[in-house]
Amino acid sequence: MNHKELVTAIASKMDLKKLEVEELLDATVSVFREQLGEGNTIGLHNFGNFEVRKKEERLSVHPATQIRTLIPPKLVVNFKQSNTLKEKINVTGHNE
Amino acid sequence: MNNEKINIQEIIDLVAAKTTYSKKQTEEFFRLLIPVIEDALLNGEPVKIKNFGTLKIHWNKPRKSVNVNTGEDIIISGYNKVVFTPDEGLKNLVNEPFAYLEPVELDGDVVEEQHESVPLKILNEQALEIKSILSEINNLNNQQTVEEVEIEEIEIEDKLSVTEIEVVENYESEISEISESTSDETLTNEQPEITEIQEQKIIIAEENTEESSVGTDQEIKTEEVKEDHPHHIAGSTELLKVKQLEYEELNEDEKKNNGITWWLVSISAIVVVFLMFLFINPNFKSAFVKEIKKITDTKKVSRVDILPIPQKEKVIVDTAKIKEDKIFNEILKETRDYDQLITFERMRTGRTLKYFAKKYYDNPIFWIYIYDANKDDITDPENIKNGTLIKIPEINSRLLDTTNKKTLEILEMISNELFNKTDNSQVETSTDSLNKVENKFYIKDEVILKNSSIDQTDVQDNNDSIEKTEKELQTKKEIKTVETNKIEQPKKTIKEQSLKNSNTNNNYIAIETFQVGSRLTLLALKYYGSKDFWVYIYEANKDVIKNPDNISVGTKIKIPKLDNSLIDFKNQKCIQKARELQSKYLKN
Repeated sequence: MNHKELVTAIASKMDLKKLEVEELLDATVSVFREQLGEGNTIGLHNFGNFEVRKKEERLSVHPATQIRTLIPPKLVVNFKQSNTLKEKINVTGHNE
Repeated sequence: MNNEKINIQEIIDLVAAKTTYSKKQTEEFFRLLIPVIEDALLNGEPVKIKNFGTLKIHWNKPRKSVNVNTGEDIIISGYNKVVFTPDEGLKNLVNEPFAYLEPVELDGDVVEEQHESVPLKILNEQALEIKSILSEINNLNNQQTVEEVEIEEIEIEDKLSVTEIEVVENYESEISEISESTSDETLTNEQPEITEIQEQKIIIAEENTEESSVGTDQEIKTEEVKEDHPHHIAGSTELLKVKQLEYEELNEDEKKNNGITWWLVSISAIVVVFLMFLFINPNFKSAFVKEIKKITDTKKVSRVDILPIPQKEKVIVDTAKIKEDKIFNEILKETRDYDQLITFERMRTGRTLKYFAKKYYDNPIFWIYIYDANKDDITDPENIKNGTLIKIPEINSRLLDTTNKKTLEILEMISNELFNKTDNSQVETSTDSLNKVENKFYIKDEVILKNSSIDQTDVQDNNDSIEKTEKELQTKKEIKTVETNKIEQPKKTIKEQSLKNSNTNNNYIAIETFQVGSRLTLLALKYYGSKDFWVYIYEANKDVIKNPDNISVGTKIKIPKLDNSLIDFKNQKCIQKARELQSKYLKN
């Protein structure tokens, strides 16, 4: 499901036009980005948390050339699913 | 950066503020947004949101794991997980604080770099240790430096008499102190010392014979020696016999006297060096010979052997060996103080003393020096606790010369000394020290015998007076051979005893608990240096091990103490023997 599909799916359930829904979604995304950029955690109840995690610096060795590289620390966005979501998606079990 | 948690209500407020829509509308939007995403995910579809990222379900496969408490194998069942992959823009935005950092290629030693980041606390500990060591060394060196300064003065001023007498007096007082202490241990320590110096005196006196005629006095002295020397050795053999009984008392005495005797021995060592220096330098010879006479007079100890050998050169050739030995002993004594350190190392897993020896001395066999320097901190060199601070002493390059047999002998000597001490069995330590004393005697005898054999060939050409001394020497030789025989007998019996002890006592180096992944071969590699010797471990644990290929976890395995000749991994015969045993057991 891509962005457009998401917008249409929401628009079909709301009494708002697609354009308006898209506007809202864009605004939401920009708010998320702002908050995450500041390092805040976004908690969506019954869905999960978007949080920023710090990956510590590490040494990596190239297996073929044996060159050692110091990888600097970095911040990444991580999504931690809530327990309710976990239960929901695990009811069906493994589909593949 | 603040790490607040923003809940959905706050987000709704923020979104509403950003757009023209009311809070109600945005709330409704969110109420729909989340279930829509959920539904899409449940259908197995990934949800892609522009400028934000992708949410999708990832199947985590079931995997094996171990319960940390019980050690049992457990299986973690597979589960679905929603994974969020951020958009490139979001990634960069979030990582802005660390954006300036770039991966660095390293070609230096990374291990060293980690060392630099040793916590301050540990550095403080190191500083304290070094301080205490330095203060000890300073205390010990004070005495030595005084003597050294004296020697330097002599060098410069060429005036021996005053200062040297001081040295001699020191030496005398030392001897008297030792004799006062009356412990047998110090006596035996002292004796080789004296004999060493005696020999120096002999040599010098020998050369003196050219200058001063062989007088009747000297003959009398040699006679005295004849009477004196056997008495000495006889006395010492008695001591040796009695020693085993007295050894426990001895140990106590030793502890008390250790501090005093240690620097006394060091002073005497310096005196020996000084004598040698005089011997080498011909300018001081004549003056020194006079001094020797003074010593003999003042001491009134008639131990000086006077062997009239007119030919200098042969004597020098023969004494060269003794000189070398003494230089070595000298160096060894100095280095075994271990006051000069290259560096400190901290023990970590995978590190052994041999590793350090290889690193600093280019050959792993010299690990014994490191152990010797750290024997206070290390109880078992095979099993050193992680984090132990290990001193890496500076070793004289002469002691690290693998081409020289003497270095190997010294290594063996130190290892014998160390390992017999750590065995804690008093019998063995006593035999060891006895053997050492005996060896010393034995070597001394050999040297003298060599001297005398040269005498015999040379003296035949010379006049009657020398023939007389030749006879004396022969008789002396006979006496000595008798004495050495006497000494050898108790030595043998003691050795037999120690052998019996090692057979009867079930000596184990260690007891290992069999764990998952451990193998008898690995244990053999750890304790004996080669996998091939696992058979011996199996042999010792037959009662516990039914099948050597399948040992149950938790089995306590005794690592037997084996004779070095059995587990010499460099010797092909040993390995062959072990393999034969191996095939024998495997057939069964």
